Amino acid sequence: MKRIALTLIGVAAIALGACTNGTSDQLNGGGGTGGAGDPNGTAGNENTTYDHSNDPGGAAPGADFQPAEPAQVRLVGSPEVTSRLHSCGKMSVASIGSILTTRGLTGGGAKPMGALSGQQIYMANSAAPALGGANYNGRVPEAPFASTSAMAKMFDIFTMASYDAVGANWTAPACPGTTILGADGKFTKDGLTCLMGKPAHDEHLALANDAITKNSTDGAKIAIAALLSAAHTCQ
Amino acid sequence: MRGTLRTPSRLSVSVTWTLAACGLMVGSLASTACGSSGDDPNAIGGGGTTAPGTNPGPTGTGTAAAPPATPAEQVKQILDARKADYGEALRTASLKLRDSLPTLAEIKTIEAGADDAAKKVAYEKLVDDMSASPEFSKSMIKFWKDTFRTGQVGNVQMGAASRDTAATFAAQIVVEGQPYSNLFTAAANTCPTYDPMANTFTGAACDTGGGTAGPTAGILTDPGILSQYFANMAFRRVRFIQETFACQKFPAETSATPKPLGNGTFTGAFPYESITGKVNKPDALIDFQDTSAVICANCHVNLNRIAPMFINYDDTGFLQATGQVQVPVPKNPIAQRIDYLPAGEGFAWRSGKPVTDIPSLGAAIAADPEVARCAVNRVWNYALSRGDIVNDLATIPNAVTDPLVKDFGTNKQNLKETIRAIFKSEDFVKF
Repeated sequence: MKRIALTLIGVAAIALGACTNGTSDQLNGGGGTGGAGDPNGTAGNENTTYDHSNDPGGAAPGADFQPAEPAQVRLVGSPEVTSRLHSCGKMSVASIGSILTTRGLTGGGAKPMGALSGQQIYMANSAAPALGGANYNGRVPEAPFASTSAMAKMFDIFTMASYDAVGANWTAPACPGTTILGADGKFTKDGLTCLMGKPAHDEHLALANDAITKNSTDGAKIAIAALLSAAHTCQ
Repeated sequence: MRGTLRTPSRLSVSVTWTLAACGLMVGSLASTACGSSGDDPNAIGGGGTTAPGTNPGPTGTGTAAAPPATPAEQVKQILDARKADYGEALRTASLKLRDSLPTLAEIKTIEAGADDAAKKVAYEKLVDDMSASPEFSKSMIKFWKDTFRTGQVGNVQMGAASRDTAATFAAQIVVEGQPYSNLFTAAANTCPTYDPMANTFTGAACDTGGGTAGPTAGILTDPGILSQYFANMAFRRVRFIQETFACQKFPAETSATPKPLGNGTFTGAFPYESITGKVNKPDALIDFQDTSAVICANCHVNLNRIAPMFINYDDTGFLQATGQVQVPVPKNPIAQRIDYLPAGEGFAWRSGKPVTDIPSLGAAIAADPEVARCAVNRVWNYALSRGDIVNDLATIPNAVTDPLVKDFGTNKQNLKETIRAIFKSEDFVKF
């Protein structure tokens, strides 16, 4: 009971605090001391576009330097350590396109009727923005890190590209003479290496083949989609 | 996992498996995709997965070890736990140097190495090959477009300049091994074109549009850049220069003797009174000496010594005989020099670095050691996928790149050599 009462008092205090301007529905000006009408204010208004951030921390000397928290240092390492470690950069939009073309994932596989190929999804106008592509007119470079939408779009692309990789006629310009699935219907190490762009190991092979064992119809496609997504999560 | 799979349907597109199934598969394969076997520290069940800072043993197996006595020892211990993985390094280097995965033959070249020393030799040869390939030129153009946040979208409009030329010029400097300082001091051919089929850069003078001929100073006079960063009082152009090439937001420099002023502290390296404001010009259009909210002068003592040099470039980036940028006050008057600096105050890149015009500004920028460090740090962040040094606050302790910055200086500021060195560095090939 006491806890409920304290909670109610707390909520009421917050509500009152939010209503200090009475019934006004106007936003605070954000100017130095008195909003848009304040001659000393630094927020723009209808008479002037002169507009500054009033965040005192924004232009404070040394504002860029923020010493790392000791707890953070223990968790992720000191600035010197983290500076020397690879971060997880986003695959560039161009790189994804290159993977599709050099790995033979260009829509040649048998897909469900009406389905788009991975490359068709990639080529759609909506793909580049979702993948974090640059918007130079807006002074926005290509995103260095993947957003959720970029990861989801990449997964869409790789999922449908898996139909191409399991096709009997699959060939990859960057991996001539390689097959992804051997005559025994199992994955080949070279095939997985080709898709990942780095040496595949026994664990990759075992997990991928396990998918085939568990689902003979779609297991190979599942494995390829998952493998491509996982291997190309980071640049 | 198996129980979540659905019966395949011809009409379904990608719903033949559920996200849950794929999620689990991705999860399990992600572990493997990011790892290797044998001596790979990231291998499943192997060492190396211990979080940094938890003091793994020298072999990365989590073996109890004596806690490091000093921060330097701690750094060393964590870094020593990494191991070289040339296969992984080749993949990420290839993506960054030429925007594509390595070929199977290249991957096998690394794999064929009998030991790490042999793999290292093979890897470094491939880095050299990649940085000499035509794709490297394209990657560099893209790198600079992203760094400058400027690139031509669609066709160049009538009466406008291409926004590709600045990035192309910067890429040409890198690819051809020219001194990085040319980016600010080149007096001709600063708006080149690139032929991807022939992998050749062809130098050309920048378009002057309907404007007048003026000085040429590397990309500082590139009409595409000047157009991209056109804004009131030309401040955005100056901010572009500062953040892109000095790797730091304004304030650009601080005084050793800050002074309490108004509601804050004046930290500028030039005198507070040396810029236009109500104190020395009661009818100033903008009071750069205002102290009621933030101390404007902290940034503007530097900004105001550079911006007036760019006020005659119009919104298309072409030089005109008269001022082209406005002051953001009612009636939007055209900015004049007096709006920035009182009579008698000169231009400057930094305190003690006076300049007179854009070419001398370019020379001062080129001679600034912080600009050289910024170039190296930007490439370092690119290689290690660390994001933008300013926007993402991906700053780098000087100790990390000091050797590279030193080599950059002795290498006649050949950034291509720095790129090679970074991609071959111990930090790059270890994971």
